[in-house]
Amino acid sequence: MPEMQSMSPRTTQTLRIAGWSLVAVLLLLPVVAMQAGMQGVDWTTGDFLTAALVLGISGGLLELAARSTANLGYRLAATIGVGAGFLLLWINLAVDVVGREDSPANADYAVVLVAAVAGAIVASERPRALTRAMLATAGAHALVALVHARYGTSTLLFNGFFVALWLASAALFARAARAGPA
Amino acid sequence: MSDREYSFGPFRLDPDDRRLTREGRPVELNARYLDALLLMLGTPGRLVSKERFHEEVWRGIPVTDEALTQCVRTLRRALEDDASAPVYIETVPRHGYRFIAPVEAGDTLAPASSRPLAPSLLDAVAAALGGGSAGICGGLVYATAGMVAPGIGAASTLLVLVSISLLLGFVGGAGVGLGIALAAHRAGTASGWTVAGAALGGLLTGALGQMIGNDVFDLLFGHAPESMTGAPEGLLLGAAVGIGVWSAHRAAGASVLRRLAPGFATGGLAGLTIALLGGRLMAGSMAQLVLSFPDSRLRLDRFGALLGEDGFGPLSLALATVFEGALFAGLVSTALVTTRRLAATPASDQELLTSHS
Repeated sequence: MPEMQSMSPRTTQTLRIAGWSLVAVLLLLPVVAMQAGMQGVDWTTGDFLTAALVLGISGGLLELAARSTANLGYRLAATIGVGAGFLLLWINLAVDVVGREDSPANADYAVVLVAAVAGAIVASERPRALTRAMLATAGAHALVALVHARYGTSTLLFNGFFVALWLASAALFARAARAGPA
Repeated sequence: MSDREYSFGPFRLDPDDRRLTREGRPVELNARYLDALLLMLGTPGRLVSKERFHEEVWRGIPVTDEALTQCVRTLRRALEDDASAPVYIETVPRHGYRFIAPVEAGDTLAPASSRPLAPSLLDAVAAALGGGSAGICGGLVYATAGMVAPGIGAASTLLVLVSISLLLGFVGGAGVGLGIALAAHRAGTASGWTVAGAALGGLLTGALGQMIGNDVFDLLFGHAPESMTGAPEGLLLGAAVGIGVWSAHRAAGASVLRRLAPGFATGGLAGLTIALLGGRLMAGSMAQLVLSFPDSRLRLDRFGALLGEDGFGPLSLALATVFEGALFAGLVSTALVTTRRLAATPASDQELLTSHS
């Protein structure tokens, strides 16, 4: 059933519009909140630029993944991988995951992100290599979790979920690799 | 089992042997197309609706009508039938197909639907991951919106908020997913029992979660917040996920919006119902927490200020609850539907595909 394995052009287009609309809404929400004078929401121009950059890069990566294949498993794997990276970055930018803002533990998550991005660049759209990249990212994140647990900042639940997301992405890339070139 | 066999024209089909023969010589058909043929042979002369094909042959996997058209085209080629002057398979425009040749059946037979279904723990895992993602996103939105008061330790308060939200979403998703998997096991992936199974899974998870939550609060702090998310909320959210999944199966082949939007919509509706009935999801429970523990760093009153309310009023609560319901049911049903579609393409189909091409 080839139609089961791939995303239709119509769906691609709908999701593309929905995705970029979501980006616009996410960027407009703080504007609205600030206009309404909501306390606690106090974004600087730099904040908006950072948010736009992170959202833009995430969306761009998904566009690249969509361009390389219509295989549903591959696209889902890319979405989960990019989504996990995005959430991790958001948490680290908005607030730091571990304790105080200047805690060195937060820098560890940069290692995870670098592992994911470097792996994805080296893999360059090949699903088998992307599987390995995501497995390596999961390993790096698990290591960070262990180190944090060792030093008494217990973030096991949080880290465990991210390891699960990286692994899910790896499994889907592996599946896409088995399905052969799309 | 040669007595349990259909024969029509020069063809014979033995359902147990799963083999179609023409005057003794085997005719090649893949498993799914054979199921489609068996389904029509089960009720010769009667209309078999497109919906029945989708439910019993594709077992609720969302496929386009084009897949069914292709299936019938292949069957006609195998039977050497002509679509414009059919001897075996007649098209009933826009509705389905009818097997029109006389059929002799050796015995009454259960058609393809009695084959064991393969929904599994995968449903629960997918739903848990979807629920966990909803939890993280919701927690982060609240955090970014300034729900945690700044100050020393604010970051770890935030981590606690996101982690709790993640855990609740994950466990809730897993419970609902298990209910859906059980329903699928009993009645098929596309049946209306999906809604009942999901609602039951949500109900039990909600009840159990509230029980454990209250015990933990009692143990750690000597008292528990008055009302937190529980069985009724679980029931409604579970039902919303169930309706989302069920309607996605119903809308197989329709646009992605028609397939996936109902999950978000029913989730929002469930959230609204919960808010109107005085129930609570995440933000509501947090508000209760703040009442019980006035020293906490959670600052929900900011939402109220945005809506012109003094403190975290009913309007803020309703809005937050609708948002949470939509996010949870939407992401959980999307995860379920997508995983099922991916899992539904067995390796054997792929082999057939490559050997045909």
